Amino acid sequence: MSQQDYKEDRRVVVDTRPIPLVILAKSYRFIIFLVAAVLFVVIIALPTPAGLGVAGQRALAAFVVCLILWVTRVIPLAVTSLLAIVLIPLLGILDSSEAFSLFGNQAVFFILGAFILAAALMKSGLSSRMALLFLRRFGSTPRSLLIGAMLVPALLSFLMPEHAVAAMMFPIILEVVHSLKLKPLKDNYGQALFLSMAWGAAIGGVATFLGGARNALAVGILKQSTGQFIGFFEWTIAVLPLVIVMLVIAHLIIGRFFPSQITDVKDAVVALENKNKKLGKMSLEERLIGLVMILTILAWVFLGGRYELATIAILAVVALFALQLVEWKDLEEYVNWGIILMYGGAITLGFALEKSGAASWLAKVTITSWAKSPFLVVALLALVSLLFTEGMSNAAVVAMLLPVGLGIGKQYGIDLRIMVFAIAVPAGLGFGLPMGNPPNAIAYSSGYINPRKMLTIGLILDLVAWSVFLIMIKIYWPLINIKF
Amino acid sequence: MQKKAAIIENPALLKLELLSKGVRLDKSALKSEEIAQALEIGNRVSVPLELDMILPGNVLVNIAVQECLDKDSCYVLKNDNGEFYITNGVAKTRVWIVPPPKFYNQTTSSGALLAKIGRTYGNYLLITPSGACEFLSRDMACKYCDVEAKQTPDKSIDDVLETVEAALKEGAAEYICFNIGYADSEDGGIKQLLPYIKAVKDSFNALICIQAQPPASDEWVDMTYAAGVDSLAYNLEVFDPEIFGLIAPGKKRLVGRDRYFKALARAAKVFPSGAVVSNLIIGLEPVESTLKGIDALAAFGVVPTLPLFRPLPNGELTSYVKLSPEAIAPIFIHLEAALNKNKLSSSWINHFNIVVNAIDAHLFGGQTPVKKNWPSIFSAKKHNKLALNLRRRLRVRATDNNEPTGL
Ligand code: SF4
Repeated sequence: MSQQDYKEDRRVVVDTRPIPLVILAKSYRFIIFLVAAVLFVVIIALPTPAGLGVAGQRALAAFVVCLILWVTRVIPLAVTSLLAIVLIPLLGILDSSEAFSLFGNQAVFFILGAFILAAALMKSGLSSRMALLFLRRFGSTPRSLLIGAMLVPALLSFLMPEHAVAAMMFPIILEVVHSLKLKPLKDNYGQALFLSMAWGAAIGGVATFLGGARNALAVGILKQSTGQFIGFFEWTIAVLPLVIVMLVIAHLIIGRFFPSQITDVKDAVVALENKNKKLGKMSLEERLIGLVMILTILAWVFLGGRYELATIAILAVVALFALQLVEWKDLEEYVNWGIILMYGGAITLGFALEKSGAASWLAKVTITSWAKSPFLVVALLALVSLLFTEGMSNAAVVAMLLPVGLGIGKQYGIDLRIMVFAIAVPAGLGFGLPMGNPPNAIAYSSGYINPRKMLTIGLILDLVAWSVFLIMIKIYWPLINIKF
Repeated sequence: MQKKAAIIENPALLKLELLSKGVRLDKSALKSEEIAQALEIGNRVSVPLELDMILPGNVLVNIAVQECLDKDSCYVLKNDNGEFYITNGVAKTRVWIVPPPKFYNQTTSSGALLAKIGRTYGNYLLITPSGACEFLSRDMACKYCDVEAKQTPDKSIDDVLETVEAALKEGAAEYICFNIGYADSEDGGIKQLLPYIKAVKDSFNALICIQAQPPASDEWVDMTYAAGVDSLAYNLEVFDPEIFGLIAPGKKRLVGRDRYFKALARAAKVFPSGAVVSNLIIGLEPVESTLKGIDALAAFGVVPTLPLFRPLPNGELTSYVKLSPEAIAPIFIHLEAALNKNKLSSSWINHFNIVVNAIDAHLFGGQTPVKKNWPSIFSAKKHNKLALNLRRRLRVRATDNNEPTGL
């Protein structure tokens, strides 16, 4: 930036590092684009490997480019997603009508509905009443509040889909963060609260069949292809230790990497009390919004199997408008269109990888060339699932990897229930990228989370989750009679 | 006698003497065209007469023309058939009078005399866009403050631009230097200068320096550089903490001595080497304290500028003891050593004629002065504007605050 670009309202900083380093940093974008372009050309130009079609090869090239752009953020995440949507038809992986139609995925509409519901809660002031209750229950110290922000969504995710939990908790956490006057990106505590919420919901979501559609989907695929079955409690008993250990570790890691700069949260309680005093008694409008919200949550819990979560969320949104509880202009400042575009593009790319056979080819190649024992097969499959889920929808990872995994499992004589866990459980544990799962995306939309930190710490947590999963297989599962 | 002759023969010592004692005009000098012009400008602007002069060895000095206070050591300017001499009654030396720039006599489109908008000192055009200073309004003025001169009306951007244009066109200045008083806000007063800086940078490829008080946050130091300022001065004035409080009560109470050091340290990292300067006025504190100040500032990467204390005619500090040139010279030798030790260049202040600089200082050692003609002195070392602008373009970036989260 030169003085000509200088604007009084724009805060600037002067990079005082040695000039060669500054030049290198300034060329960062160019270098990234260059690396992405070179890799793209190289992958396309290589001879197509056996077992992979041309479409799959091109899908891999598009995936590598998008992954580089997402991770480095040299262009906005949402714009990279848009690039993914146009690259897919351009490279002939899918035809353009199919590629664009994938954007209309139910997860995208679920997130849209969640933003609108959150907007209604916040605009009416109901979220600040909920936040006050939450703070009174958990906010005796900053640490206890963080525990609450992770534990409540984790426990709720035992009973309802993690997306829904994140959607419900989001306005509450946002209200708490506002009342603590935390600054987006700068204040550690704000980031810690949102990540606790997202990661708590994600970790809790692997504990039962209710937490995420992928668990039930995985068991369904197992039953369909082998006739074997994993019961509700059998699943929970097998996974619960991992959930408990991961919640503790995630809390400790958040505490370690985001040391709190606040010593108490009393000011937030006072601020919320004052705000609620100003709001006065609960208005009819608030009560109605509250009622719509409760009905939505009940529908998510009890009708979630029959109807899509997104369908329920959108119907709730329609109800809010029909009852004149919100106006469109109220929503505009709350709906984060960037997140919606980002998620839609990521889903489209994930689908292209799956449909073109690129993902399963990659998984097969990785596993068959590296796995020398049944344990290594499971370990690699879990790792592949964990890494894929950072950029793809959880359910897509299960749908794509499980058939591959079951085939390899039979080949190695591994208990096929282990293959199901090895794919479905890590598929719910993507912590590093906003497109890893809807709770991540929703938390990220707050604008409080530094993406670089989320990626670094999220990847550490990914590795921890993988290690804990492997330890659990070795030590705990033999005790409950799940053996190789 | 010998001592008096020695001073006249050493241009650096002579500069010290002239800076602190001024010069009296002989009748012969009054007859010259250069002096007549200077007098006329002085009358029109109603400020005491000052003359820009080149001493042997290209030593540039700005001298107050005043009656002799100390009859034993008077310096008189004489004109002998168009050649000027300075004499102290014992010896004399040839000097060259720099005629006042022609633009002084022009007026802006709004009718303001350009000499009232900006004055040149060496190759600096000094402009004080506003006389406002909260030290003054809160009765905490610096004791050396020329309050009357500060009560200038605010200057419009258009008038400033016309003055800058005229000065640059004439080649009378290379640096446009803005001076601003203190404002009790996060920016410390710099914000008032920003529109002027932007206007000058947008219209001319000129180098800009400012003299201001340190802002409350380092962010404003960075913003100052980003805005296009090339060189900056936060003037500490005295190093001794106690004397600092006595001499500059506003600086002590509203800014704090520590803040000067912190802001200067940040500025030294942000600005090009040698472009951050700070005054330490010689004569307001013991010499040892000035020496310590020189070392401390230079260690931070700040170039100390050492003006000599010139008591204001009716000011509060008239009783201060004046140091002899022999006592002052070692301070400048110390300055030169400190600059060398910290690899600091004094190129940003070499042609600032109201202070003694390192180029002058080496003459204390008795090197033979080299004579050069005005104005070739100024072209001795020019800053490369392209390189300076490129440096700014590379180093300035938006903070994380504004960095999008990537959505
Ligand atoms: S900073 Fe000091 S010298 Fe400058 S105007 Fe204010 S009081 Fe006067």
